[in-house]
Amino acid sequence: MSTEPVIQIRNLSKVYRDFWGRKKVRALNSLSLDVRPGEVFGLLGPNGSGKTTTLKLLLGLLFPTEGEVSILGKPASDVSKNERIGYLPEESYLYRFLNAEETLDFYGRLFKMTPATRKKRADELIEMVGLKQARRRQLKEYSKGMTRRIGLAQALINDPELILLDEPTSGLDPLGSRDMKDLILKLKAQGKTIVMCSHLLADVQDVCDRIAILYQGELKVLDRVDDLLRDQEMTQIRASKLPPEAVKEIEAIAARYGAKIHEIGQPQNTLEELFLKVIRDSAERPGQRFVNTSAS
Amino acid sequence: MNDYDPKAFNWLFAFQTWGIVCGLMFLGAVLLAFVLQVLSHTLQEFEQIGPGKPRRSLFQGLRNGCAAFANGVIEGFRDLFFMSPRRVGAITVLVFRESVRRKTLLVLVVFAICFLFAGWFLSDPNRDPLLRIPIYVTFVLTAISWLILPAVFLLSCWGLPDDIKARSLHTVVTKPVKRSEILVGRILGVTLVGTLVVAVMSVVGYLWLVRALPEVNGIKTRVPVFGEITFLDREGKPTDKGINVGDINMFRSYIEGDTAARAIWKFSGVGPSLLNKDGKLVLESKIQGFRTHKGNLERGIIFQYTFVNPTTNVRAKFQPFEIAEFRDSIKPIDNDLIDEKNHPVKLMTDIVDKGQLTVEVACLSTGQFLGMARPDVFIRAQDAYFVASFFKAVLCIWLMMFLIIVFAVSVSTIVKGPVASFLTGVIIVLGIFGRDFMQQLVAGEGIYKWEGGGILESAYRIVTHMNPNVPMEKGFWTTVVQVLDTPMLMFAGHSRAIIPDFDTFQMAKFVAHGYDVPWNSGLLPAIMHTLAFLIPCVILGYFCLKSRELESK
Ligand SMILES: Nc1ncnc2c1ncn2[C@@H]1O[C@H](COP(=O)(O)OP(=O)(O)OP(=O)(O)O)[C@@H](O)[C@H]1O
Ligand SMILES: [Mg+2]
Repeated sequence: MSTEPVIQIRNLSKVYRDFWGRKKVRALNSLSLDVRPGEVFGLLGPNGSGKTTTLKLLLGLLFPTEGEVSILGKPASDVSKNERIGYLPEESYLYRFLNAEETLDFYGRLFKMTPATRKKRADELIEMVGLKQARRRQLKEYSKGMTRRIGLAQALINDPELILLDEPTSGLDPLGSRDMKDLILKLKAQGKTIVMCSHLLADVQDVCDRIAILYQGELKVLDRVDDLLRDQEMTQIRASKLPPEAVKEIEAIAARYGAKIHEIGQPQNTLEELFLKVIRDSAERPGQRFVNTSAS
Repeated sequence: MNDYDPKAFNWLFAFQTWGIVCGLMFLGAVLLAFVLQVLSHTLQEFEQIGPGKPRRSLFQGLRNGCAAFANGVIEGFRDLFFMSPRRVGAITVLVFRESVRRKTLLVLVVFAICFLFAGWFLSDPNRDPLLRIPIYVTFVLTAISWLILPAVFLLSCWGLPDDIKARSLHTVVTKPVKRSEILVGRILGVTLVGTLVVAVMSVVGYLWLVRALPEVNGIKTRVPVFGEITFLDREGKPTDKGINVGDINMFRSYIEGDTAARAIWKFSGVGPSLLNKDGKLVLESKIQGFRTHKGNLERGIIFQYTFVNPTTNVRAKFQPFEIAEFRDSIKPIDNDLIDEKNHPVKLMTDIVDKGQLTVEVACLSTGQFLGMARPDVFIRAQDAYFVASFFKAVLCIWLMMFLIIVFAVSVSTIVKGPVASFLTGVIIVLGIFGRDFMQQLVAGEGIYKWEGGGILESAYRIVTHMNPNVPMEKGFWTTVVQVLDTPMLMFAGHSRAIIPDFDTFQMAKFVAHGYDVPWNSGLLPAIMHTLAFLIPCVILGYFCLKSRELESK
C-alpha cells in the first residue's frame, strides 16, 4: 500500500454567497490536512463548524473559494474519482419513490459493474444493513433509521476505497450504531480509508485513528487520538506483576522526586474532556489555529 | 389545405439563419461567462488581502479567471461528447419511474374521457362523410397535442428543480456521473413517458376514427408534387403576378380570358416514378373563376393546359375543359399527345426537358378571369395510405413535444420550477401566436428598415419630438447613431428565430384534407426545427448545470 495521502487539502476556504455574490458566511478558513491510506479519520466540531462543508468540497459538490483539494490523486472537480468513493450524506437524500432494490440498482448502474455483480452486491448490502424485510417498500415509507441504513448501503455499492461518512450513527438505534462501528472497523481491516464526521465522541474515540477538531471553520487540533488523549501531567507505568519490594522501591524513587503514587499507570482522558477543552479554549482565544507541521 | 402554400425546406437559408442566431447566442453566452469568471477571480484576489497574506494583483485574478474559463470550456465539450449510455440510461429509467409514479399516465384517462364524450358532440350521421373527415381528424390530432403538451411541460419544468431542491441529485452527483448525462438522461426520460403516452393516444385515436368513420378505412391520400408559378400579362409579357380582382384575400392572382395572359407552372423532378398505374401523369387543379359577366351559367369557365418544352419549343395542347369550382378537377394526361403542328409527341420524352415539365394555363372564356396560386395545380404522384399520413402527423406532434421537453429541461437547469414554467410558457405562447406579430414588429417595412431609423435614432427622435419623415441632418453623431443601430436591428431581426415556430409541426391541415404529409415541406422542416433547438439548448443547459453548486435551496 502506498503512503501517498488519499486526501490532500491545502489552504481550503469556502465562503457561502447569496445570489448576488454577497458574502454570507465563511464556513471554512484555510484548512490544510492529509488523510493517509488505511486510516479512520474523524472530523469533529460543534454544529456549523464546517464539517459537512469540508466533505462536500472534497466531493466537488461545492466549489472552493480558495485552495486546492486532491482526492485519490485527482482534483475534486473530476467526477471519475467518484468511481472509488462512497459517500453517506448527512441526511439520506434519496429518491423516495424507489424501493430499496431499485435504489441500489440505480446507483449501481452509475458505476462500471456487470448486472450480475450489481445484483449480488445489492443483495449483500440489503442483507448487511438489515432491510431484508423492507426491500420492496418505497423509501417514502421508511423510518429515519431505515433511511440511514439504505443510505449506507448506497454508499458502499461500488465497494469504494475511500468512504466519507457524515454523521454515520445519527438516527440509528443503539444496536445500529454498534453495527455501524463494527462495520467501520471491518472496512478498515479490509484496507479502506474512512473519513467520518461525528458529534458522538464515544463513537469517534472507539473507531478513529486520527482526528481533526474544527471550530468556526478553522482547524484547532489534528493528531492521533491516542496521543491527544494522553495526559501529559501524569506518568503511567505498566509492568508485568512486580513484587511488593519493587513497588516500594519505585515509590521511594517517586518520593525522592516529590511525587506520590496514586496508582501506577497513565490514565486516558475521555475524548469528551478533550473536545470540550479545545472548544472552550478556542472560544476564549479566537484566531489561534492549528498549524499543520506534517502537511507542507 | 385551402390557401396554404407549402414551401419546400430551404437548406441554405435555414442553416444561415441558424448559424447566425446560434453564433450570436453563443458569443453572448461565452462573453458573459468569461466576464463573470474573470470578475469573480479578480474580486477574490482583492477580498483576500488580509493580515499575513501577500497582496496579489489584478493581473493574477485575470489570469486565474482566464484559466478557469478555458478549463471549463474544454472539460465541458469533453463531457458533452463522451457520455456513457449506461449512465444516461439509468437516469432515463429513473425519470421514467418518477413520472409514472407521479401518475402522469392519468392523462391517458383524460384522453379516454375526451373520446367518450366526443361522440356526443361530433357525431352527426346526416353530415356528408367527406365533410366529417376533416373535423374528426383535426379533433383527434388536436386532442393529442393539447393533452400531451401540458403533461410533458410540467414534468420537464419541475423535474430537475425538484430533484435539486430535495437534494436527491446530491447523492447522484457523488457518483461518477457527468452533468451532461444528468441533463440528457432527464430529457430522454421525459421523452420516453411522452412517447408512450403519444403512442397509446394515437393508436386509440386512430381506432376511434376508423370506428366513427368507417370510410376512413383504406382511404388514400394525395401526394402532391408542387411546381413554381410565373405569369404572362395580357400582352404576353412575363410578370410575377397576375391581376388583382379586388379580392381581400390576395392569395390568388388572376389571368384574363381570351388574352395572352397565362399562368406558367414549372415542375421539376418529373420522371416515370410519378406516373400512375396506367402510365399516365395526373394533374390536379383547384382553380377559381371570377366572372365579370354572367356568360353561360350552365357552363363553367373554360381553361386549357398547354405543355411546353422551352428548349425545343414543342407545344402540345390538352383539350380544354371547364373548371370545377370549389372542387378539385383531376386530369390524367396520356403520354401520347399531338403538338401544334399536328405531329405526335411523347409527353415524357419530347415535352419533359431534363426532368422539368412546363405547363401553361390559359383561360378561354372571354371577359372571365381565372384565379390561381402556386399550389393550385400540382402533379399527383401515386397515392399514399391515410394511416401513413395520420402517423406522420403524430410524429410531428411528437417532435413538437420533444422540442418543448428539450427547451424546458434546459431552462430548468438554471432556474426554479415556477420560473422555468413561466419562460417555457411564454415561448410556447409566442411560438403559437406571436411569431407573425414579431415578424411584422421586428422586420419593419423592408428587411431591417424602419421608418424613423433604428432604436437609437428613434429614441433621439422621440426625445427631440422630431417627425420620422424629417431626415436626420448629416453629421458625425448621426453616423455614429446609425452605425450603432445596424447591428441592433440585425440582432432584433434574428432574435425572433430564438422562438420556435409551432406552426411547423401542425400537420392536421394536410391529413384532414386528404393530403399525404409531405417530406420536403412537412416532416423535414419539423425535424430540422427540433434539431436546431436541440443542439444549443443542450449545450447551454449543460454549462448552466455544470456551473451550479446544486447547494442553493
Ligand atoms: N448552503 C449553504 N448556504 C449558506 N450557508 C451555509 C450553507 N451550508 C452551510 N452553511 C453554513 O456554513 C457553516 C458550516 O456548515 P456545515 O454544514 O459545514 O457545518 P457542520 O459542521 O456540518 O455542522 P453540523 O454539525 O450541524 O452538521 C455554517 O455556518 C452554515 O450555516
Ligand atoms: Mg454537518
